[in-house]
Amino acid sequence: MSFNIIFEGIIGGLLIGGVYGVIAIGLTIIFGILKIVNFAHGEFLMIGMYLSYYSCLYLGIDPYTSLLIVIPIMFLMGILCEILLIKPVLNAPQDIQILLTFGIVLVLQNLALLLWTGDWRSLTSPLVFRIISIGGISLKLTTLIAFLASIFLTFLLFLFLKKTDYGKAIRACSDEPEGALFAGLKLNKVFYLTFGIGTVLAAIPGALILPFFSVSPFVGFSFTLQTFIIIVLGGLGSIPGALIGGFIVGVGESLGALFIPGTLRQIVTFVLFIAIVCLKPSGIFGEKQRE
Amino acid sequence: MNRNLGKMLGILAIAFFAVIPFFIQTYFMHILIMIFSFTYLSCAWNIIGGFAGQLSLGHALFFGIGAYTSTLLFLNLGVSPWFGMIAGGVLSSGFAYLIGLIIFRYRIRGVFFSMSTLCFAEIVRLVASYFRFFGGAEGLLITLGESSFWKFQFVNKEPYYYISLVMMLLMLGVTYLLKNSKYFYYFFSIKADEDAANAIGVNSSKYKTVAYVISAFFTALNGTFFAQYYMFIEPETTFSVSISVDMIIRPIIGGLGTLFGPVLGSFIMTPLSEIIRSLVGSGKSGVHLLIYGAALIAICIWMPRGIVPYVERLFKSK
Repeated sequence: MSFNIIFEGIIGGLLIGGVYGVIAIGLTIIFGILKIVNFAHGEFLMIGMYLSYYSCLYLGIDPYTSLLIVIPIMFLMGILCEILLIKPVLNAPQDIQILLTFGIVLVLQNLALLLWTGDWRSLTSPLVFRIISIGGISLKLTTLIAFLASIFLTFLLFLFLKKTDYGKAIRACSDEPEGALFAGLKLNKVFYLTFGIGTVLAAIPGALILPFFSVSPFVGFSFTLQTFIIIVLGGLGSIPGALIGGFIVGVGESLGALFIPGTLRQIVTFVLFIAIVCLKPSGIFGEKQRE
Repeated sequence: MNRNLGKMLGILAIAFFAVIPFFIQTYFMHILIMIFSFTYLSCAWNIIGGFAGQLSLGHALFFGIGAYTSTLLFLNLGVSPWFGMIAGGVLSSGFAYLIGLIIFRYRIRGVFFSMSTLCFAEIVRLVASYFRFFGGAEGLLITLGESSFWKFQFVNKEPYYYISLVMMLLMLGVTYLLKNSKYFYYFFSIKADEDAANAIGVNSSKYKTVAYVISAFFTALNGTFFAQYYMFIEPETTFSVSISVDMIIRPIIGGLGTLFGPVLGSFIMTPLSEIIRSLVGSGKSGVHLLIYGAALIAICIWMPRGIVPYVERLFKSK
């Protein structure tokens, strides 16, 4: 195997890793604020993919333009989901929370199966096959766009959290929920906004990867798993950790794909999850695991 | 409830179910067989999920090991599925012990425990679909012969009915004994507060492993029953998330960690899922899982402890 292939693998992994990072940031800010581990995160991504797919199919737009449809719908869906389902169990024991979000997984998966059947669907636009080469390395244009958009999105989120009032409110609630309450912040509002943002952060990557990733009702789970690996690596609740974790998992997966054949590749993710959960419960950035 | 009254009711119920096959159609008998089997499975899951409070989302693993061990032994070596059943139970316990060794040792808890169990089940499912020895993606057909107890295959439904009834009663007996043993208190302390349990000297990883191994053993036995009942197994269904969910949903609806919660949950959910399946057609359409998901959400929001504790409290408050 030539050095070039491995190098391309690493670059490809870094690019997709940036996208994974965004998905993980979505999960980690929900955890940071609501202290709830959302099993259904990958399913939101799956719904985002389908929304984008059908917008492209029926409106003849490209997946990037479809974000104008995907973002508002998913933001509303996230908010509704928080108000109707998550809010009632915020103070419940952790196992009830696990079961509730697992219930959301079952509903979304099987609703998708019912509405859109179990067939794998993928976009077939000319854009998909465009290859560009930089310095002798050839890359898919769509992967590069997905990466750049993800980095830009992370930057926007960073600005939002640092500069805007809502962003400051969210950070305050993450750091010191009781203090934030005393300072007159409406926790309820912060909670559903955060959940909405988290949901959108799962759905946008869904639309971004649609050009090079087929969608089926069951793609969500493997993304949830990857996202968990990432946030365990990066430390629960840590945003920079999630981004770094995303790069690590992206590169690992891309290199693994070079050496391991088809069906067994999925197994690697599962084994990796168990191994990482066993060995690294506090993350790279060493943030203390909260229960 | 009065103790004697409870005993009387129990005996009456058993007598009722013992004679009912003489009066009903095969389809209803099938539904009752499903109810008993799922009660059995739910009780087995309830040991780790309800008593010890560890939400395993991957019990299909043990179910599948049970189904595959007896079937492979029968097809390749001609071993009676009854022995295969025990072998499957032992193998399954071995697996549970090893998994426990890994995940309890490293103090994996809560959501990470649930995810890990799901991962283990998925790993075995993928491996089983990959290798031809397990029938690959097409599955394994158990060769049909004449009705024979030794071969665990019958043309009529009645023998299956009584076997599933007896298995369910035995399982209820096991959970009853377990609930009244000292182990239950260890499990309960771990469920309530694991750190506190450790602090007062309960070896939490040891007792979690004990609960996991017992649960896995009994789950596997029913895997064999399902294999013999349908005479066909395939990795995609036997190791599926769907089977795991089947085991989880009933105790949660009935009452997690209670003795009769799984029974009640099964009597509610099993007919419901069978009716949905017969209305919508094949079990792969996912409509029953959609209903399960909705039921799970509803229970978590409105009745997080399940129906049995809810009803008990209603009686007490009067």
